[in-house]
Amino acid sequence: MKHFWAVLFLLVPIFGVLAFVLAPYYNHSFPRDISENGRVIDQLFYFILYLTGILFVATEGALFYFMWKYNGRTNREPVKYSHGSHTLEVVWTILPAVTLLFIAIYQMNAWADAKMRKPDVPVTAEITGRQFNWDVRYPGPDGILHTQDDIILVDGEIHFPAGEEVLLSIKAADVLHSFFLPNIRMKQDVVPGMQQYMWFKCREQKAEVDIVCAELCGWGHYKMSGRATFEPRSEFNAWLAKKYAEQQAHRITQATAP
Amino acid sequence: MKRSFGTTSFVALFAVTLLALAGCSDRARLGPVADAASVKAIHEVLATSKSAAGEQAAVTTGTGWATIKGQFVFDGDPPAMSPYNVTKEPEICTINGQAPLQETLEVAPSSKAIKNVVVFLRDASRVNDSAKPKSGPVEFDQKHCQFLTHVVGLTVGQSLDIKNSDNTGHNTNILDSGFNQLIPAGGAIPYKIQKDAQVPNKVTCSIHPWMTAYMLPRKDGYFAISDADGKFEIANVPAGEPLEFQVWHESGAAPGNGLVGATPDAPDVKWSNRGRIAVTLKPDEVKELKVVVPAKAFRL
Amino acid sequence: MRALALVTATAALVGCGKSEPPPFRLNMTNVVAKQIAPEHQQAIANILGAMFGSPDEPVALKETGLDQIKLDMAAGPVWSDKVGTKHGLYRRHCVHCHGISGDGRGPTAVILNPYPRDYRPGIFKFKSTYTSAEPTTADLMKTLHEGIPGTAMPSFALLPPDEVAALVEYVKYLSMRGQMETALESHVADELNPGDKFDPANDPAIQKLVMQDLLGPIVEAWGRAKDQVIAPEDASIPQDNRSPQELAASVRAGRDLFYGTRANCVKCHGPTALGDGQQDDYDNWNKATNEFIKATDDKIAQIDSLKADLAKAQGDDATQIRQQIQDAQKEFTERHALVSRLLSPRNAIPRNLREGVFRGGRRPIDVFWRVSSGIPGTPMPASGPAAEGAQGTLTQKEIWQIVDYVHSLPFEPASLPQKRPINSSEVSTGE
Repeated sequence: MKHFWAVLFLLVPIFGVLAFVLAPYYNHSFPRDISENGRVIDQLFYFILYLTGILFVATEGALFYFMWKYNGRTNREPVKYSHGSHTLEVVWTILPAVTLLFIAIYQMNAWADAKMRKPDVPVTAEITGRQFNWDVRYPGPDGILHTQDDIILVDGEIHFPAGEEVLLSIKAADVLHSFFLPNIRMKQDVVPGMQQYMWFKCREQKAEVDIVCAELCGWGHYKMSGRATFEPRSEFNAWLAKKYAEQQAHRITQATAP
Repeated sequence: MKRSFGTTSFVALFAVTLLALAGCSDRARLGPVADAASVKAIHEVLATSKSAAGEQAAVTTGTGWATIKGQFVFDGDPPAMSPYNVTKEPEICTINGQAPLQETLEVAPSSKAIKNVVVFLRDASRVNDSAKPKSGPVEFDQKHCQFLTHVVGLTVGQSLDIKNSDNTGHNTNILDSGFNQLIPAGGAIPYKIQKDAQVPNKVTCSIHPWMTAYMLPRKDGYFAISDADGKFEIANVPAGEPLEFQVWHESGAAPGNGLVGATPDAPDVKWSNRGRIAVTLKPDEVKELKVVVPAKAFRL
Repeated sequence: MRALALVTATAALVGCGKSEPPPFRLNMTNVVAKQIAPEHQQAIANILGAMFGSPDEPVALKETGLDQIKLDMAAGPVWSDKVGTKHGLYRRHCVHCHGISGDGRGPTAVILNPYPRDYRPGIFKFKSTYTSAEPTTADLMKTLHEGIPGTAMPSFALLPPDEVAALVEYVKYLSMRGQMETALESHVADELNPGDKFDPANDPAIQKLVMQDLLGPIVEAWGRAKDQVIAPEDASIPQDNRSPQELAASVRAGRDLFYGTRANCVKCHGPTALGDGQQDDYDNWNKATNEFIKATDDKIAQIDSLKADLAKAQGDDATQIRQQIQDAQKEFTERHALVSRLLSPRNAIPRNLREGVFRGGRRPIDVFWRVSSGIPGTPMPASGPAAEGAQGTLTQKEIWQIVDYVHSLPFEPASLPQKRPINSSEVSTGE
């Protein structure tokens, strides 16, 4: 087996490419995208994936070619060392630089949309990460956050209005957390003491998706899950009104005694 | 090659030792683990037993009634009591600027009589009418942030009338009973006793943490608390059968704060190391005991 | 050589990986504090094993009223069967904090504040029942559903209802087992001498003692819980559509109670309600630890004083004292070995009411229950009645006023001149 090493290294690009091609069929690719902005993020991802993918296959192919051609069993000639080519150096410095510059400019709009152009809407809810739960605070009937009629929920069931701009204020109570909505393609780290904002728009009328913590925040990090429900404004308002009423319970109700 | 041999074997040895320490160490001193064979045998009888109700061992009961009384006397130099550590509200919790003295061991200076020793019959096979559970209330007041009755005994069904004669709020927390309630300034709260106890429950106040008292709820009236003269009397206990009395003091050194004394004048009274006395009384006998308690019997 | 090292290390790893199923252990602090003889420790472990089984195979005796199917779902090692039913729920979700025997001493317990709950005394803080009663199933479900805000207890609302129900049953099971263990240990310490037999297998008297006298009251208390729920009277409950003026009046009345000598909230929660009043008390769990440590230290003093006596004593006395020193030293060694393992005791700090974090739930009814029946196991006293029909310190109407005030506290300006508590020298800021 004189080409052992060549063949072994050829397996790397083969398995590498296969992994990406087959991933969607095994449900290991991106989760369903339900956000208005997600398409742009995904496109950026795929653009970079294809770009690096082509380069990866090309370099691995070259590696295979040289290993095959110059394997140690049949090539007894000593190695020849070249002392560099100025042209080559210039080419492979300028090409990546131009590519990186292109990506930097190409993604600017997407970044600004996701992180800089905060929409001019009232805050829908304040999300606080604590070890190990996502607590949410909605403004009550007065529409203002941090007043006595706020609706505070700690059971990880968070609802958002669909089809409109949602603005969240994100806080951390104790350590570093990251509020992550994979299906919205949005993630926001937050350090205690900081207030971060996050905004998105769900383009589906009805969706139930996962909430996770994307920053290792301690031993119970894995427990910081939740469920985000997107629903039309009218249903969202009705849900909020119901939660408000539950929070005002003065009596033992069915909800009190499940 | 020789050198790397040494290093490698050292690293391997170190790793194995670490693993052994971390994962496989004998988790010593965690207590016993149930033994499978015994568990099976016990489970069979417990899971199938028809509650074994019929099999009551016959209890030998005598006839008639007797009385036991006596006095507790301290043997040695009684310790001086220091004042309570009053940390707040001195205008209410002290008397003319003096905090009241603690009551962990009250001994009369001249007679050396010991106050607040609790004596009770552990298990009564029959109860005389005079010792049947009572129904009236028992007053339990607090003043100057001190419980006025340091040790209180009562029967199930009676209510403890917890009063507050201070111009500040107290809360009365009876440990191990699940009772912990606010007693408003100048007010009173009755607490109806539902359950008896084998030893007096400690009573505290979370607002004034130095406050301490004890409450003994019993099924019958066969209990006594020694007075300032160290005297106690339990009347009409069953005669002609073996009786076991518990002698208890809050500073008793025996397990469960039992108090081990000595009754040199009464050789038929047997003391256990838990502070219990075994005795059989004759009908209509009045047994008078002089209990001498050595300083060692107290944990101070 | 390198290969040999690798093989040894792998062998060591494999050896550890296949561990024995975890057993229930006794509450050794209690066992040592009560100085229970080794043969009686074994007997208690056996009886508990017969009554409650093991962490892998729990037993629901019919007398306990526990549901065997639910226990089986919650107990045992973590695995999922072919249809995806999850097993070993307790070990999947709870054990790393609450421990295999529910002692609140799992591996992560030491880094948490507050410490995880030790279920074994059967005392639960957040419940709808009277102070001395057990919680209802609904109360435990609520805690699992919402978690405990302000602590590391997360919400388990996303679990399917049957899994939550199984976990609640298992918590009850661990509680009953712990209460039974305490009852057995108290009985042994009070009644038995070293060498006495304690085996129910062939002694009907012990069978009766175990099942009726010791287990009976525990099961009965759990069964009674659902009849001990505090339901506020309709007449006392504030109207839903109160005007702002009515609400403000209620808040003012609550504030007066807060600072007054009837409700006395100010004594512990502090003149600013920041929880800075009485801070040096302990809750039941930490108190037990603290007392164990103190008693251990006292042993050293006892040994020293015995040694001083020995120097003076002669003959039989000396022999006796020598024996006492030996016993005391043995007990000290046993205690000392446990002390290093205990969670260092922490004071019960009254809640800072200005944070707006309500551990037992934020609904008015939740806060009503906290004020009415206090928080069992902590210094927080009840201001409502101790049992059905008993006399409460405050009327229900007054408790609702306090509830209104507590809800308004996070939004009350902290610079509001503090009301001087009546007859208290603690607050110098006048009105």
